[in-house]
Order: sequence, then C-alpha cells, then structure tokens
Amino acid sequence: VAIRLNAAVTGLLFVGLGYALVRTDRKAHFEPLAAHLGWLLVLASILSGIGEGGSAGAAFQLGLLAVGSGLAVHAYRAGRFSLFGMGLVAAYIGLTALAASAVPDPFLGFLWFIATGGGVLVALLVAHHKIKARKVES
Amino acid sequence: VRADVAEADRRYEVREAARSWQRAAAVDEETRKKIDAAFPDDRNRLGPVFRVLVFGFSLVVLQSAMGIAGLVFAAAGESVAAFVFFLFGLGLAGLTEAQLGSLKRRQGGTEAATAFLAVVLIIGTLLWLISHSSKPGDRVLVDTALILTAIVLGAAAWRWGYSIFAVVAAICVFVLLARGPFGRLVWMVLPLALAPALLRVADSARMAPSHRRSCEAIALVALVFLYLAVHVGSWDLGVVEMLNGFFDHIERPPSPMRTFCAVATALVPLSTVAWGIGTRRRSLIGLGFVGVLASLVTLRIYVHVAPLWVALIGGGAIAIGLALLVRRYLDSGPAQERHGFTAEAVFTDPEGRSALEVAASVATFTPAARPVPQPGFEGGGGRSGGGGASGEF
Repeated sequence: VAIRLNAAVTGLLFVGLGYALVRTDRKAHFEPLAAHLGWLLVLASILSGIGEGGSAGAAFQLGLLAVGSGLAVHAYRAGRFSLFGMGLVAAYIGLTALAASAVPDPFLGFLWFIATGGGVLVALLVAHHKIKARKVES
Repeated sequence: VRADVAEADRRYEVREAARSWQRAAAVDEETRKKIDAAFPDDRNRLGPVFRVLVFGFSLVVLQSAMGIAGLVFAAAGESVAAFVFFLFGLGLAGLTEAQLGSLKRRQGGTEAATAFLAVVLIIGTLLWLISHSSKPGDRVLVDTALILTAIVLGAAAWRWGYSIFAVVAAICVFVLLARGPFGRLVWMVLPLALAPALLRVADSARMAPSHRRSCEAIALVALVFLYLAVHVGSWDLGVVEMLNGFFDHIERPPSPMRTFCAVATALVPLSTVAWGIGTRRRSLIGLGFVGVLASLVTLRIYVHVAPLWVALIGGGAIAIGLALLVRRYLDSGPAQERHGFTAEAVFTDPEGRSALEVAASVATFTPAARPVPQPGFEGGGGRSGGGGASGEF
C-alpha cells in the first residue's frame, strides 16, 4: 500500500511539475516527459491493485475506469493523443476487470471483448475522422 | 507489394518529406501545399497513437471471435478446430488484401492486425497439422517451423510490405543456417556479402518504399548476426553451437580463433560506425554505437577494471563528453557544418524525437523491483539524504 501510494503521489507531483513548467514558461519542452511519466505512475499504481479480492479490488477497478476516462477525455480535448491512448487503455482495463469479476463465463467473456472492443474501434475511427475534419476546417 | 500500394507509399514518402522540409523552414506552407497537390495520397491512414490503439483493439476483437470459434469447434475434435483456424487465417489474409486494395487502407491498424493474425494462424495450424500427421522428431520439427515461418513471413513481407515480417523471417533463416554444419562460419561470411548488397538495393528507386525499408532492416539483422558470430563471449559460451543442439559447456582452449574473436568484437562495431559515417546512413551509425556499447560491457566482464556501476557511469560521462565535443566541433565549422555533417536537427521529426526521449526516460527511470523487507529485519541505521546517500548499514 505504501509503495502504491508513493507511486501515485510521485506521479501527481510529476504531472504538477509539468503543469508548472508550462505555466511559468521555464523549460516547457520538458513538460511532455513529466506528464507522461507522471500519468504512467498514477495509472500503474491503480492498476497494481485491480487483482486484489473483495471490495478493495472493485474500488481499484472503478478508480482505474474513472481516472483513465478522465485522462482520456481531457487529453482528447487538448489534442494530446499519446496521453489519450494511455487513458483509454487504462479505462478499458478497469471496465473489463469489473465485467470479468461479474461474469466469469468464458463464452460471455469473449462476447464482451467482441462487443466492447468493436465499440472502441468504431469510436476511435469516428474520433479520428472528426479530428481530420477539424484540421481541414482550420 | 501491390502496385497501387507501392505508388501510394511513394506519394506518402514525398508528402512526409515535404512536411519535414516545412518544419525545418526549408520550404514555406505554399510550397508544401503544392507538393501535396502534386502527390495526392488516396489511402486512409491514421496517426501513430490511433494506429497502435486500432491495431490493439482489432486484435482483441479478432482473437475473441477465434475464442468463440474454438469453444464451438472444440467438441468436434482438435483436427476440425485446427482446420477451422487455418481457414480463419486464409480468410484474414483475404481481408488484409481487401483492406489494402478496394478499401484503400494503409497504416490504419486494422490491416496490420488482420495480416499479423493471418500469418500466426497459418503458421500455427500448418505446424500443428505437420506434427500430428507425420510425428517428426524434435530436430525436424524445429527446422520445419523455422522454414515454414521464414517462407510465410517472407511472402507476407513481400506482398504487404511489413518490415517486421521481413526481420523475423531473416532471423529464422539465420537460426536455420546456424543449425547446419558450419553455422558460425556462415554467420560470419554471409552478412559480409549480404549487408552491402541489401543496402544498395535499399537505395534503389525502382523498389517500393516498404521493400527498401525491409532490405535495410534485413541488412541490419545480418550485421547483428555477424557481431554475434565473432563476439568473444559468444565464442567462449558456444552460443551458435547451442542452436545446433550442443547445450553442454564447451571447453575452448586459447586459440588463434579466440584471439580473432576478441579483436573482431572491438572492430566490427567500430567498422559499422565508420561505414555508417562514410555512407551517411543513420541506422548503421546507431547500430554501430549499440555494438560499441555491448563491446565495452563485454570488456568490463573480461577485465575487472572497476565495479560495473563505476564503468557504466564513467562510460556514460565519456559518451556525453564526446557528444559535446563533436557538437562543438561541428558547430564551429563554416555554416555550422564540417565534411557534410551538422549537429543541427535538420529535417528530423521533433514529435518522433520527443517520443523517443519519453520512451528512453521511461525505460531508464523505471526502477527494478526491490524485495520487500521481511518482518523481523533490523537494519543498522543506514544514512540517507539525496546525492550523499550511503549504502552502509
């Protein structure tokens, strides 16, 4: 728990450092490095807990879904696609872990992956189409 | 490669070059737009992040569909399931063709996913059928797997233009050659002829861009195997001979061959760097420097001049110092250029460089897992504090 908390706080500090670098316009070119490392630490610290049993595991799964979704939405709006990718994958893992613990049947599991994976694929292609259209307009 | 795909790739290369020229302020936006208009790209392409995500989620969907097929056909027996998977592989190969053809996809993630699963399924099921029908021995089965993988991946690389397939096919061929009677000798001689020839082909305008990239990648693979063949550690441990089934420790007395390997361990990477500088080929210079690093680590293993951490820090400091010296030397030349070289980042993609920096930092900053102290452990009160931390307990 201590290592997990350590990693999450360090990650947030890195994200904050990146934000400060941009705000103060000092060595702002290091911001991507700080932001990516920070979010990686935050997401990894939550991910490391999803295998725990009981309500603790469910809380981590929910947390991963929430933090990943938030990061994905924010990064998509800001046009930062590598962070968007990290958030999306984290949110998908969180959601799938929640579903897997609720429905342990393999057949339904495969159906889940087909439906949700297909849904994410369509959403990604639509999002890319919109970004392309927005670029052409601007 | 299909003719339409090759043509689209050529146009894409020109457009990408124009983008980098614009970034380097070599051309203005108007000129870049004219180049874009002169070389229209009819393919549906995605950016790197979206491409990786689409590739990953396509694999999730396709593998889940195969999982359901596996559950359905498992009751009918393994042979039926294998045959179904083989048909599945052929179907995915057809789907890849359709995407690259009528659907005009390229660098879109989905066609790479179907191509990848197609070759995996075709190789896997054919191997399964061979091993269950003729029941060959282990040695024959491994050789068959290497030949089959090289043929299928080679054909896929030729048809669809994925360099990674060409690289894996080349690795299979080299491993197969090592299993012959003169494995190490073949690893030494073949790359010396193959690498220059492939690099010449990689510069040929008649080849499709994807084939040019594949040729360059195979040339680099060949040089890696040359280095492995002459590496003194590989000679002492009998690494090549292990691929031929000799896993017992090989006692090698001092011999002229060992001396040759010791010298070649140093010379091959340096020659690669020199070759890269002479031909202005960045991939060769990069590979050569990785080899130099590997040779220095090898030297540290054989000659205990200092603890490993001291050698690594010292090596890193020397590398940084050399880089600064070279930079200063190039910058002080007329127009910041000497002998056709410059330290300026001309025509390089800043996004790609930034991604490389992030990846390198993630790799180097990520600490190795540390054992959690067991209850009952009592340290002697180590001192800590930033750069002055002491390891005394």
